[in-house]
Amino acid sequence: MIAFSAALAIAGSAIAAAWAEKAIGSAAIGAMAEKEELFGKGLILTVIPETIVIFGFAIAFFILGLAK
Amino acid sequence: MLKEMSKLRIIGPKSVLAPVLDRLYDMKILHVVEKGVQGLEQGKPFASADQLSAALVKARAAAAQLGIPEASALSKKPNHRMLAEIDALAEKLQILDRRTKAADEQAASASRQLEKLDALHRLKIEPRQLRPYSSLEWFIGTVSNSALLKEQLEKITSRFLLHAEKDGRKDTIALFADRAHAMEIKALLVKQDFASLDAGEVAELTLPDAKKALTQAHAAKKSVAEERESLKKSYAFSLPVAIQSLHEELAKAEAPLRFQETEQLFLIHGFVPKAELPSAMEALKKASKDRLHFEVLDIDHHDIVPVQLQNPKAVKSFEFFLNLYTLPKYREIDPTWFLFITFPILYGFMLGDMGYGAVTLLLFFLLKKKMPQFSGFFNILMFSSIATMFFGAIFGEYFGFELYHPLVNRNPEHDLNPLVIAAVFAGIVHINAGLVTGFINEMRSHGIKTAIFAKGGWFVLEAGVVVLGLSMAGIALPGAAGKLAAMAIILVAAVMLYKGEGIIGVVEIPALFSNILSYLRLMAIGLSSVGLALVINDLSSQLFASGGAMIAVAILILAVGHVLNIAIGIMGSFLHALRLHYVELFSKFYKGGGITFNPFGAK
Repeated sequence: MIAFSAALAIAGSAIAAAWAEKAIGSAAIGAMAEKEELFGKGLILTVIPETIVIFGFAIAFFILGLAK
Repeated sequence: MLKEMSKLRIIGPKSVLAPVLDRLYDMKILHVVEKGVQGLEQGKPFASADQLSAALVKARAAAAQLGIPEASALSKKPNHRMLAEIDALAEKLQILDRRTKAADEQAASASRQLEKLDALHRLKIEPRQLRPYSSLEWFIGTVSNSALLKEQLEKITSRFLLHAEKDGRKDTIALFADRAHAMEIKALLVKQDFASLDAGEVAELTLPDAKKALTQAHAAKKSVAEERESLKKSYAFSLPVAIQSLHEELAKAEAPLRFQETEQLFLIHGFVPKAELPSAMEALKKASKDRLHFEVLDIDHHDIVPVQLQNPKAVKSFEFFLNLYTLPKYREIDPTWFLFITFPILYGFMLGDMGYGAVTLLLFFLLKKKMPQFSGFFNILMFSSIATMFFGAIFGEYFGFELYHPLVNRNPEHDLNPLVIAAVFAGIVHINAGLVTGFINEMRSHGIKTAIFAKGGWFVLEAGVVVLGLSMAGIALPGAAGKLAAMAIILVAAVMLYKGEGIIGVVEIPALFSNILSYLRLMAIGLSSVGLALVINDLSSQLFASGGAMIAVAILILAVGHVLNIAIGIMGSFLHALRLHYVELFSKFYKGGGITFNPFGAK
């Protein structure tokens, strides 16, 4: 049960992060096609949702800690 | 560090503008700004600008046509001879172009005629037979099915002669038939998809004639190509020099467009690095025979001052990240030093393996030798690799193996809490360093009061959280009193932030904690890398144990696995370390938006 919860936490947050990055990433590429200097800013905006999966990882990690 | 700039106004009589421009172009120290004194007119380009730009276009077109690269380090003053030579070259190329076109057309028509003659030859018809007859009509061309045509023709008349030649999908035919039935035969041919060969135009020709024409055309093409090649050879050096010279001279001729002028005088406004100001003024005085007037003006808040980063050689490599993102404004702190210190640390924390560090250090060293144009980028990675080895020593890791009992454990089989604490601690230190920098920045640009409210508020907030934590843990002020005190401090922080940064500051309060927690990735990325390495090592050691042919497989898994893991590790650690700087750190102090110092005369 605990292992399953941890997996769920990771999976859910990973899907959410991927979903968010998908939209931002394609928009960032579009903007870069117009103006190449936007690479830095595009990269930042694209990786912002990664925090979601990091939080998911942290939660999963603490859930696994419950098992001990 | 940013180079200190001086705002300079140069005033002088128009008669010395040309030598002054020559000198300025060579010195490359003045960043021209177009805004100057209100009410004065914009300068006019030199009269020679039109002629120069026309010549430059011609020279560039010629270089493109001949396939000569434009780049040249040399230049000289363009003179009439140079311009005349470019004109002559352009004309020669035009003639060559026309000749090429004519030769191409001749070759195409000759080979078309040859094809027709060849078809006639195969049908065993002499070209001269193809003349108008009084009672006969002839058709030469292709149809879809000659056998069927013959059948149908026989139904109309018996007075015809049909030569047919199978040729792929279509049949080539020569049909001589009674003129009386011409209309019906034409209708028949249309149904058979008849396509005329237009053989009439070769009626006067013989095969040797056509062959000769083709050879001539090819010879003409070849001679044109040879002449073009010899032109390319003779201009390979002088044309790029001419282009460079014209380019420079045109830049000078058009420069007054960015200046201001009165009837007699010109005014130039711009920024010069402060350190180079005295020598620059001296040189310009000399060039103008002491007829210039210089004014060093105060830089005020409305000025958009260009920035030029100035860092020691090792640190300079890290300017790469600012160029990628945005340059600091003139009064901002240049965060290159920050990147220099903390980027390798965060990177090393994530990858952290003595073996991986050594391998990547060697790899980036070799890549740097191979691609010197990216040496700055590889320097960053080499610093990071050294940090990787350092953290590898702390974690006791060597290609995923635990060599000795680590200072901080990173093997999932043991307790990982110290690693979590280390990651969050790194986040707290990093972000607070960013806030301190932000405080200084704010103080420099908006004064101490704004700095205290906008950035100091964050420190008060952190203090509140610490009190809350201590109270909850029962270390100090346990129970309601502690919580109340903590709430009060946090409230004060919220008010300060509202005053300093507006409503955004209040909304951002939770972001501070999510930013700190974001540093958990230092642990997460590292753990995933260790996990992969462990799997690779376990798998291959089991195979090693089974012996025999399995040993080869084990070596393969070991090599491929670690190479892949290193590749993923480099990419992940690099991007995440960069992100921690760009998102978590820079949001605390860095605004950017500065423009590059781009002096007159620079490429």
